[in-house]
Amino acid sequence: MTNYNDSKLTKKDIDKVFWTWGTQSQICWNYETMQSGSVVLALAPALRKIYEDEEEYKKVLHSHFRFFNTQPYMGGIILGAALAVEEHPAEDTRDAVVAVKTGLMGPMAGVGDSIFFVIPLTIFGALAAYMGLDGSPLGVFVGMLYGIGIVFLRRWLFQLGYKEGSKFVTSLSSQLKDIVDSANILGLMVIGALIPSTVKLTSAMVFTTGEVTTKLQDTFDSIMPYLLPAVFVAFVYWLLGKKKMTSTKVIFIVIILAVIGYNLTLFS
Amino acid sequence: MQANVFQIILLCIYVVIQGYDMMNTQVLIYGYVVSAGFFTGLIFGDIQTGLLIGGTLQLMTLGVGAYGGASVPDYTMGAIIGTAVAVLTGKGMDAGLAVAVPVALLMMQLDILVRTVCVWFVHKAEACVDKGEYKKMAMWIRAGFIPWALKAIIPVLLVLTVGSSLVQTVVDVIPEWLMKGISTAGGVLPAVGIAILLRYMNTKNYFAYLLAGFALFGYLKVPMLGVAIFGLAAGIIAFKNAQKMKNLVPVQAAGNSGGADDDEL
Repeated sequence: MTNYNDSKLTKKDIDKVFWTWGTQSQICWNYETMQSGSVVLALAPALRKIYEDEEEYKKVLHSHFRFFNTQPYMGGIILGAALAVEEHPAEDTRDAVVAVKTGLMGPMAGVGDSIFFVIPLTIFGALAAYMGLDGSPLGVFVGMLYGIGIVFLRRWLFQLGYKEGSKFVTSLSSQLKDIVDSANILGLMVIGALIPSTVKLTSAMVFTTGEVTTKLQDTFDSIMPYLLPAVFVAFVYWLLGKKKMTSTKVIFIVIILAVIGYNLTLFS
Repeated sequence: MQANVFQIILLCIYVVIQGYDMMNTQVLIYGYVVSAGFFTGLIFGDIQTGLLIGGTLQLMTLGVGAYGGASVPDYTMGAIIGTAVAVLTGKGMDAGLAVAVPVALLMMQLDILVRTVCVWFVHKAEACVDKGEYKKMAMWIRAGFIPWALKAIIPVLLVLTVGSSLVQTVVDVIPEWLMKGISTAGGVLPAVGIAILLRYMNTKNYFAYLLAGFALFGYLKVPMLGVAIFGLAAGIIAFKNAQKMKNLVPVQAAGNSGGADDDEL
């Protein structure tokens, strides 16, 4: 194992990998190899410095054109780790890099989609929507500030991956599950509040029995506030679990139900 | 319904930047449907309508995230086209929403097409490797953004130029019952996003927190940020407890095995 070309990368080269990935992480996203193009784009300049032999460089590039897909923020950690492994070429480097990339992309996507994508998009989206419906664009700017601020965290994640190499997975993995669990708690609490606050569903139906008129909605309210939204979310949740059901089909079903329901004064 | 050239160019620039950021930089993606309505409203001189349409559509999109390469209804483009149509036809929010929802669903099909076309670009790029044309390789990868850009520009141009009279006709003939019906659907559709979120998350284990969140808003009227702070507190407590448990378990296990050894001796 000869460390020929050891420390050929300057701090600038390493930083460049992060910025290329951070700004072009899904530029050629395709169904076959997904983010492979962006991986190549980000790593190629650094790899060129590590692998001076033309044939070897080509072989390495081909290996990075293989399937890769993860959450872009967490992808930084993986590319950082892959770069650290590449930097010291040895006999089993190729296997090690493939192991780092394919082994980490799934778990990192799972963690990243929860804590960096779905949950913040829900919270900041709800915030921006409510302020927007009140006529204020302030929520939009709050979301933008968060997005810009998180760039520092993304950079830190990349550097963490680079510094720790492939080791860090084992040291972090025990904490990662707990972090995701906590994020789930926060997320579900917010979603619980989103049901009554965002699902606008009341009934306009009125029953007349002799002299007495009863509003259906009043009956619902006496049972529980926001009864209809809660029942409707439960209905859609059940619908989504049906075989061969896709979210697109569910959207169409809900639109049709709403149009019919409105015209029967069942909904308003 | 007429947009001037200046407005059309501005909107095209905006949708390309927005489309780029949504996939790549991912800096402006928080509240992006509202901001799409806001910026479109800004270009056409009616920010309020933009915020209303963007806000309504944003609530539909909560939870419907395009993660893992899935194609989802593009409510962002819905907000852009919907706002433009609402302002230019002067028919307001209901008409805008009636146009926005089908646009969002149509865009999903275009999204699938673009993701397929990019297979060709990445193949072109890899073919450059063996010839040693590394600059060209990078160029082909970057060129993969062209279909994404076209996907953003084409609907804008279609609706605002050649198709504007068609859109005007469609908006004029949408019957009242359908327009109001779709508006009602706009209020109900967030249920779909919420249900998808619930299926995505670990709802079975943490159902109690869902109930707590519902009651916090439903009965106590705690604002969203307040609920999030409660949720954060609960999350921190759970994290600390889980870490504490982890520190306890090995000690116990060691003690047990030690005990077993003693017995054997």
